[in-house]
Amino acid sequence: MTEIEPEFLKQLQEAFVIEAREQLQSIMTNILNLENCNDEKSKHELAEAILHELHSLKGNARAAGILSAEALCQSLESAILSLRRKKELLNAEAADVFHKAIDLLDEVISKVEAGEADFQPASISAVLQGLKELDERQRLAAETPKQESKEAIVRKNLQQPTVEIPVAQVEQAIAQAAKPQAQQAPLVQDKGASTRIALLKLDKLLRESEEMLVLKQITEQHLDDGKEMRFQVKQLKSMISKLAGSLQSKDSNQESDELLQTLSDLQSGCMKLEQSLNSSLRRQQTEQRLCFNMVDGFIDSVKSLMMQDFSSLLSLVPKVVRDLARELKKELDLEIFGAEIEIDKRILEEIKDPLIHLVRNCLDHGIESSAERTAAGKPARASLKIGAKLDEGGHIQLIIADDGRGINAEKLKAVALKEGAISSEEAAHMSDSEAYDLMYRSSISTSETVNEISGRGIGMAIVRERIHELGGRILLKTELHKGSTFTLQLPTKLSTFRGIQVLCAGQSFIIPTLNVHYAGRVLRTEIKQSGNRNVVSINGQLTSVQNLADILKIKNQKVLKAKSARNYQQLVVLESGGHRAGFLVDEILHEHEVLVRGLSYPLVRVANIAGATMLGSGQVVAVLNISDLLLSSQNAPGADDKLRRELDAEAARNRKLSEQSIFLVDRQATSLVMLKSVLKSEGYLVQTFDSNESALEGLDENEPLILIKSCELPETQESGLAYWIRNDLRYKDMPIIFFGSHSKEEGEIISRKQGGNAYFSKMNFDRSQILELIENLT
Amino acid sequence: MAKIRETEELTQEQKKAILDARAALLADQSKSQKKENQLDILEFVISGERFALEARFVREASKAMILTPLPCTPDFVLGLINFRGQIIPLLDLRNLLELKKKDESREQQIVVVQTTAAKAGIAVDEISGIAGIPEADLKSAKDLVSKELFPLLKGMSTERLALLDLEKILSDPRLIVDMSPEGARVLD
Repeated sequence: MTEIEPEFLKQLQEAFVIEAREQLQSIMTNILNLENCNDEKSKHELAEAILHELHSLKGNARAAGILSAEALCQSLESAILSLRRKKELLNAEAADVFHKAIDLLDEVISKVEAGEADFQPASISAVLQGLKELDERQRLAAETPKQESKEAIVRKNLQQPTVEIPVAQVEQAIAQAAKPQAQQAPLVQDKGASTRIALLKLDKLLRESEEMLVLKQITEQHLDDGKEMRFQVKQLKSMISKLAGSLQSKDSNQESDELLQTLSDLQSGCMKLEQSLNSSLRRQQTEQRLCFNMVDGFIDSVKSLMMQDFSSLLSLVPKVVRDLARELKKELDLEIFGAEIEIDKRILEEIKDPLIHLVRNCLDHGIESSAERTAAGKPARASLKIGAKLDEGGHIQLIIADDGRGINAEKLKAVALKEGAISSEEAAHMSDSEAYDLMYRSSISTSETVNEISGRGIGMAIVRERIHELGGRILLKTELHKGSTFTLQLPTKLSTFRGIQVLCAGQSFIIPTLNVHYAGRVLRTEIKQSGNRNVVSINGQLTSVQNLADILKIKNQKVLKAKSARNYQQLVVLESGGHRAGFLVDEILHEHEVLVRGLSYPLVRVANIAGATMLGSGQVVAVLNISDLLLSSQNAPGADDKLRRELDAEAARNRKLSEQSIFLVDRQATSLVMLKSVLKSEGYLVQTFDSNESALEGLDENEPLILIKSCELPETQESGLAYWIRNDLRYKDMPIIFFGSHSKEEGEIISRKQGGNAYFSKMNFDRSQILELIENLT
Repeated sequence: MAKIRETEELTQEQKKAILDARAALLADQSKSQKKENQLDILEFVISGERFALEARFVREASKAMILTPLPCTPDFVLGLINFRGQIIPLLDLRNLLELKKKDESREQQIVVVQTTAAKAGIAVDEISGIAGIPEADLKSAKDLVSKELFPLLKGMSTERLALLDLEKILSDPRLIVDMSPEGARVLD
């Protein structure tokens, strides 16, 4: 070989890997087909196809300098040639040798992908030797043709040809016009022009198109801001009219007339503002719809580029089944269906391992030996059906159905009991479906003896986790001695989902809407104690309740508080995998369409957190992992007691609030009206006084919860309202808040001097700040 | 202020002469840097100690970014930040570098770094700036630091500036968070 520049060689090898994978897949499928083929003519065609692919693979390997691959192709080619010459195309023994060679080729390709171009697999000489022997034997035996092999284990029903070439439906993204199909290798008519695009570029395109969701969120945010503005203007209007009302009721004089005129000017100004806000909001709404349509349409088109049919995944199955069946000495007929159904390519990649695991489990545990089957009166050959289909709900189902021995709930319970995963009492009360759930616990193996085949899998717990992460679920139907059917219900498209933003201990979190069973408020008194748990009845069903902040172990959290209504608490009831639990949050905010991104290294896996997303404002928000959360809620020591204590304290506080009022003292009617309306809307009882003296009289009648007074009313060290309160044994600990036109710093000094607990400035009036002050002091 | 006033009084020619001289000096330095194998580094302070990173790892050094705290993570994970549209973790290396706990009242600055293993923000107290140090000035820190800390350092300069081995730090198993809901830390 001549000197090739290393950089060029690297590119060559990268191209080799992509192409070789496809070629190898095609070769493997055709060999499997050949094993089961009885028609001489199609046998011949299959052999031709194999030889053709082998030949070009060999050429590519030589060009890319992959010597071991070249040697393997060469031997395979020569062995198949002599088989063909002998007209007996394939027997089981030859097929075994071929499959070994193909496995080895696959290994070599993986190594090349990892950068080891000169990798020499340890077993290469044995395989080459095997091929050579096969070749020679065939030559020797050429004159004495044997009977045709009958040991076809796998009958393939895969009508779709199987080389899949990554093809982008580029035109659709551009024009959403014709729908080109994935080009499918030999034997198939052309279904439209297609092109090849590096997956990396497609991924990037998809990611970028999904980032456009932010645009949607931004327009939503703007619209909300506008609505909030309109609300504020409305409030302003009502305050002005209240103020005008209270002015009118007083004696008319020059000053008040002028004031009334100003107020009416203000009023009409507000109306104009409201009108222009309204028309601006209408425009914005139209624009928002336009933006939504454009963004959604574009994202859909790009997503359709990522759609791929199941054939690439399902074509892996026959070989796995064949190898395992031989190894385990089980006989079965395999039926494959739904290879034409399309699904997001990334989902397809994610379900490969779960599928292989389920198939292994099925052959290992589910399907009996022929002897056992015959003894049970079943056909000696088992039947295994694997395939995809669309269900009514627009989901895709990947089905693995066998007619084997079924799953034995009692056996599962016994194993779990032995492992200490459940108590004998639990076992006795466990329903069959609960028992099947035990299968997903990592400590419990379904088989009594750990053998190599089970050991190679990824475990049922991980299978389920993967499917959940994709937004899918696993359904199981099983009947003893009749067989089991695993159905993986999957979304057709990945990524975006709707999520509800909640506030918990001051932090935002996103909860997948799919998992939300109920979101709304509950009366705090409805949260009852049952044993050591707190429960609430939602739609007639009792649901446990915990504080989300306790489950997430958020430190420095504030005590429970309800913003809008004092007696209510915001609750979300979440469900996943048949479990359900309620969580208290501070606030339930918007529902968003979000794009979840996984956490990046070194955050490999964080309990209770599925990932994160970015909102329209650029704010990063964590997305909760609901199945984790439900697990954590079952195992949160002390959380229930803590919540109970907080609920009791809150109840006591509320009793106090409902009996006691807030005293507001100021000479100016404006501040009194404004503050009163704010406090009343929060559910406080309010009494207003326009002088220190009248407030003193009020204090004689009943004790207020808190006193809020203006700095402008005279107050000295020796006399005044605060002085009097601090020197009265009944009231000396009563909280007093001052307000005025001083800056916060100045005002706080004045307030402290006069015996106040806090101060707020009415110049930059902040509603939430005042409410927080009151909340903290009472 | 005094210095600025001085320059205001200079004539155009004088200014040009000064600038030319500086340019020549700078050009000279860059030549000699290449000869001496200079390392470009970003210097910063954490808990009163001076540290540096190779500048090639640094994507951005910035003041505050909005931090989203992440519950159910160890203390060294300060949270998530939005770095140019990407969501990356913000890490506190104080524990790993055997430093005092962070001063809560102090404003943090962030160095965003990228290695083959990870892209992450690192919280520091103060960013001192970019500098070049001759590789020859770096000495082994073997006798100066603990045996746990030693492998995480590329070396220490004569002025006790510790150059961090960022690749090793970001792939340190102690920084990996891999926790299932029961709360057990798998890798520790």
